[in-house]
Amino acid sequence: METNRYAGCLSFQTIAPALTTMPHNIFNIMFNLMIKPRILLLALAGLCCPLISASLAQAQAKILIINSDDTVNKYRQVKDAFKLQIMPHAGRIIDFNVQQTAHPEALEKLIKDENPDLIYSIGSQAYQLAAQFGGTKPVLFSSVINWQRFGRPSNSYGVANELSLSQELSLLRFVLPGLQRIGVIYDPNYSTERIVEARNQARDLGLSLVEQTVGEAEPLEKNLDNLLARIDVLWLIADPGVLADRATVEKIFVASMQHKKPVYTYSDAFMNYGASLVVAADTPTMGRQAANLAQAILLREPIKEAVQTPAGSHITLNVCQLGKLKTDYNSDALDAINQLLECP
Amino acid sequence: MTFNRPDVPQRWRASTVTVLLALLLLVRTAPAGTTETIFFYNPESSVDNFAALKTEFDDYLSGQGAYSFQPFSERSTFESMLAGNAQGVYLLSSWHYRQLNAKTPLEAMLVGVAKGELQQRKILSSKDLSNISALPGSTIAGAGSEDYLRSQLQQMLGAEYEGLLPKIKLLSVPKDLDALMAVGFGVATAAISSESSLNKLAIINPKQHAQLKTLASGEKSFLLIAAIAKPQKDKEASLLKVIESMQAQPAGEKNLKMLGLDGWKRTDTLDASLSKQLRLP
Repeated sequence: METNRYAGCLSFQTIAPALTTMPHNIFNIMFNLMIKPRILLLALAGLCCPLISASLAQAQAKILIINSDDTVNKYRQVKDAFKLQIMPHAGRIIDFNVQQTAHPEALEKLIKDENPDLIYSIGSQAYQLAAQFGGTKPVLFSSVINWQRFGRPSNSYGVANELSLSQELSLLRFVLPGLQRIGVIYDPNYSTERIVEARNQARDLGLSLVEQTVGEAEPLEKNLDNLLARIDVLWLIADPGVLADRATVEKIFVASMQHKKPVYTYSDAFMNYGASLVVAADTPTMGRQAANLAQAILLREPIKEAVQTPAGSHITLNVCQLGKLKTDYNSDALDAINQLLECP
Repeated sequence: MTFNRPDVPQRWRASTVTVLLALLLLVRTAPAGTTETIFFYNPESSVDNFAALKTEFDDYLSGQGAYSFQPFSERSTFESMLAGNAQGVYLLSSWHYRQLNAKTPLEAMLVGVAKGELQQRKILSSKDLSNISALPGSTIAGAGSEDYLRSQLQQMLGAEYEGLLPKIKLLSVPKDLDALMAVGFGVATAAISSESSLNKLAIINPKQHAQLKTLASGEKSFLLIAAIAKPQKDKEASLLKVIESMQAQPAGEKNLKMLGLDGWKRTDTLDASLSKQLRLP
């Protein structure tokens, strides 16, 4: 369990102006407190009751949202969901769109001037900038692909972009229940840990994971046909060693089609190639999760997981492709499907 | 409508706007007189499948007559449509139906059926907590709007534990299975889901299902309801017939599955005890 050490800064920073005047002039303090009821309230609350102080702090909290690119639909969705959930609990929200400024250094000035209590960064670029200019302020992130590559300082919290393996495989079993043998291609340099975990999860679900490694000694072409002949469905994971370029991706989909095997994967981008099922993290849910995390940080609540797994899923089912492959799907799962692709 | 073209003379701009408005009115009034609509809003699910529903239902309904389907993501927009006495059939959750009936009189004509059941019960399940009193500080995941989830939780907690509500965070997720799995991997402490979703989890992930304990359960409530605005109009009878017979055709059956249903049952064929529940305030 990790205890949040940063939200305490809020009450202190807000009360600080009143406290720092004390040695100079008692009349100034009285004047400050009379004309600034917010400071008076917070000062009294802070001295009398830490619990009241925390909730007042949250209600007055200033949150800076740094968005990597506000024109990207997914980023905008996550921001809107975050705002909707956090609004009743926050004071002021400041927006900063990285794409709209030619000088990211402007962010440094904004953080100094506004002194936010929490920074919420959306997308990798925003997260890097928040880490660069945010100092010791709590930084929250989401929509960062493979967040682990940036490391995680102790003042950083977030919602990962990738679903848990348990959820990925459970939903595959839910939508395409007849397919037991799951083929997966991976590069041991990138995905060994993930595959070890997937092996355990598959066993728990009564599925069989058929693995195929790729590398310099084992080119994809050599083993793809052999793998496809032994499986019911190909599970395409985000492995840069496998999905090296467009030609490789096309090769995998063409071979899968020749063997009449559906492809299950993690992004709608593969729909154009002929993926049959895509399960990804639901974007608005990530925004709501980030808002709940922000609330916990500002209230100084204990935080169980500094980086949460996305809780919501978004499912696209290519009914047309499944029909071509003569593969059945679970019609009782249709109310869980977000997008249904029929033949034109 | 705005014009910012300096090269277009003012009088042309005014006349163009008038012509466009007239065309718009013509386009709107032509089908409105003949097309009947199914209006759909369900606060018990957050699956953003409105585009798929619209496409599939319009496709199916167009083969049955001059009908269309209009899903809503916002409760207020749906209720405005109803308050404006728009002609058609309203598909809504029984929870919403009971709330709406207080201000806009509706008549339930059909109730949804799934796996032979007309009603469902919501369950509060947890992996780590053993009783309700341990809920303060926890996050509860569930599908649907926050209003809906809060009211379900309030009903489950009862008067004795009502005071715990402000100490609980809610996380709205797209579907019941997401909520249940979120408990499995620790993002939520507990989940609100239907009994049938718990049964689905038992099939797809028995290990996770075995870890869950029931903390509380709610009262039984009807699945989706097809209603018309009072006073009853005969005009909706043909559209109701189309909805009722959807299960008889493969395409209609598929569309019903997208709503989580297998079919419909007419309310005038319900047992007296069930009919009484529909009339409760």
